[in-house]
Amino acid sequence: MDPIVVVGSGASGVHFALAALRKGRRVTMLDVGHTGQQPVLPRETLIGLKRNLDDPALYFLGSRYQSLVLPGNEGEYYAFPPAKEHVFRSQPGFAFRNDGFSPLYSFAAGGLAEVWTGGCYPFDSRDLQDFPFAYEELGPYYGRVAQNIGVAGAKDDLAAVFPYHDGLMEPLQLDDHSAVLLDSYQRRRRRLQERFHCLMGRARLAVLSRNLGARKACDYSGRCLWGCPSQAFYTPSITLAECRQYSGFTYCPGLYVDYFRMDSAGRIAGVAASTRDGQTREIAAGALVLAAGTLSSARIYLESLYRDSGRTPELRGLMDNRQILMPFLNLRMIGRQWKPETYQYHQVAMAVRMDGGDMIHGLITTLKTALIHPLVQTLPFDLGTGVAAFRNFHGALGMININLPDRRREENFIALDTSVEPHRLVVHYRPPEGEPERLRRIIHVFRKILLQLRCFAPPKTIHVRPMGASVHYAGTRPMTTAGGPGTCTPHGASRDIENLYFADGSTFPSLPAKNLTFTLMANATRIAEEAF
Amino acid sequence: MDMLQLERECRSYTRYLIGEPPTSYVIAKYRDFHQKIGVPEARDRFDRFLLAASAHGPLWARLADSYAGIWRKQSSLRAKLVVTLALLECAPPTYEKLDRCPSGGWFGALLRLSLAPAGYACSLLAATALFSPVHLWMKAAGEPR
Repeated sequence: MDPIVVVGSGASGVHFALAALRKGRRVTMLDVGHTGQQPVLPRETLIGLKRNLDDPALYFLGSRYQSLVLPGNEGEYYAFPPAKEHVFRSQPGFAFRNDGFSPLYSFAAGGLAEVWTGGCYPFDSRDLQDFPFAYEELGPYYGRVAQNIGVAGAKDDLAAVFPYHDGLMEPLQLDDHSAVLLDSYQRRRRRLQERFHCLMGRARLAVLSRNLGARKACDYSGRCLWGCPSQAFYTPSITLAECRQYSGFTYCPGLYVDYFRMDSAGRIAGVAASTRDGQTREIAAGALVLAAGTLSSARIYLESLYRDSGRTPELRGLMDNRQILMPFLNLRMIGRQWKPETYQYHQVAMAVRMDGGDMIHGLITTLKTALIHPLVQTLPFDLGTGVAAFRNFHGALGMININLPDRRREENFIALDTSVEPHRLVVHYRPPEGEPERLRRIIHVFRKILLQLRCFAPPKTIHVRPMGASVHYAGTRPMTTAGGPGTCTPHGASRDIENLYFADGSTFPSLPAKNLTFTLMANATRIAEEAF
Repeated sequence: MDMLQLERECRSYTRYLIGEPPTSYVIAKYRDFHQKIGVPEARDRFDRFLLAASAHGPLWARLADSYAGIWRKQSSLRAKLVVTLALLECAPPTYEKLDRCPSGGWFGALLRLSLAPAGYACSLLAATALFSPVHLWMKAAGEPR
């Protein structure tokens, strides 16, 4: 019997593969699989790196100073670390055109989640209303994934919107600023809940607060932004390595999947992929599982349909979480020294129920070890005054990453432009009507909440990120019970092609305001468990 | 590429930004950046004038930066100052100075933060008095042929 062929080694692909392997199935994984370098001086803290590297600027700014943010190139508040650049390395033969959408593509081993920020926020019953299964069916898989990857968190107010599941480890040590924020919340908890429907608590993070198998607990080296050197911070390449321990697993890096080929009965017979030297290789498939991410899975699907029948349909219903970055100053933290030896991504999360009923999710990062030059140059002073002032409030700086939900709408689609060679993926997106007013309202509420927490968000620094920036793409092949063309069964099986499955975000019928990665892992595990 | 001029700039900017001379590593990386990448070319004669003035020492760098911060936000001078800051924050021992919060606690910080705009205003006034006649004159005279 031909193996299950999985395309993509991201969060969905590796968790699907692991669950299938544990059931004794044979799995072949096709992947471009770009990889980065091994972490330098893995035992050093961030400060140790600055002190002991022969060429620290090479590490922090890159060989071509690509992480330098020069005047005129501002916009994001973080300079992208050179050590993670392989995640966005381009792929020959891949072309795209975007309209109203600024997506990120990855061809790395582990996919886009190699640069995620570790947020593990399970969908609750309300979030799953449009899904063809209830929380009770998905919940156990959150627990399974959590036990496997290690998720730190606490049972607190946020359990009302982020269900408490099995396998949660005790939370990480809080940094001082996050502790002050939670203290402010506790002091004004009642008012925040009654006036703003705001809940706050500890972030749920894919980070080890204690040892798990061969992986050691977080040692608070402060290197999170630059690439965790100890594997305490989970990325899918860790599960990929676990899959490779199984004799039934064949990992094929260096393959860029072009299309799948169907036989006369309309079943997938094989997958055609380009090798690094430009040759085409065909791989036999018993069943094909597309887990390359919503955009890349759509490309393979569309290219295959075009080759098979000349059809070029549009895959409708593309979704993404709109994000707003809101930097703030915590007045209680001004003049306090900060410690770099702490966990560096968000440690505090919040959920705000807006008047319309939508839940908005905020992730609060206390900015510590990010490079400061992108921020200092935005201050309304000369740089010398800016540097002197910044030192006084560096420990008081924070940022809320506000996530908004999205719904499937017909006007947003992915298509294939076959009028050029190589064929181009076309991504078209328009925000919902009334979005500017909605964003204004949300920004207003969050600024008021910050004031309650004794924090101030300067209005001109608030940045609405372009659609596509959150990398939470979903919705083009939704799972439904009702059926119909262009949909999947509740187990991710395509209703158009018999032995084709989707195990990534393509299958989500709606997108709540939560990082979807944890749900991608749980859902992919569920599909492998229940459909294979 | 005039290596001595680059070193002069780096010394002047480092003293201006953190009040200390640069290490040989920072000077070497500053040169390396200009050899490999470089900042956008000076837009006109006045940009070049600001650059030349800023290399004369930390006070000149401050005045030129105050002026450029308002009128020439994307000038070569601002770019070179950002490059210097980025190098200083990566390398020992200068990162320590940038990372350390001055003593005095909340009240000390608040006092310093209140005084910062006043200091900046003085520097901007002086820079405007000094550079705006030159700026206007150069604008009127145009680029030399």
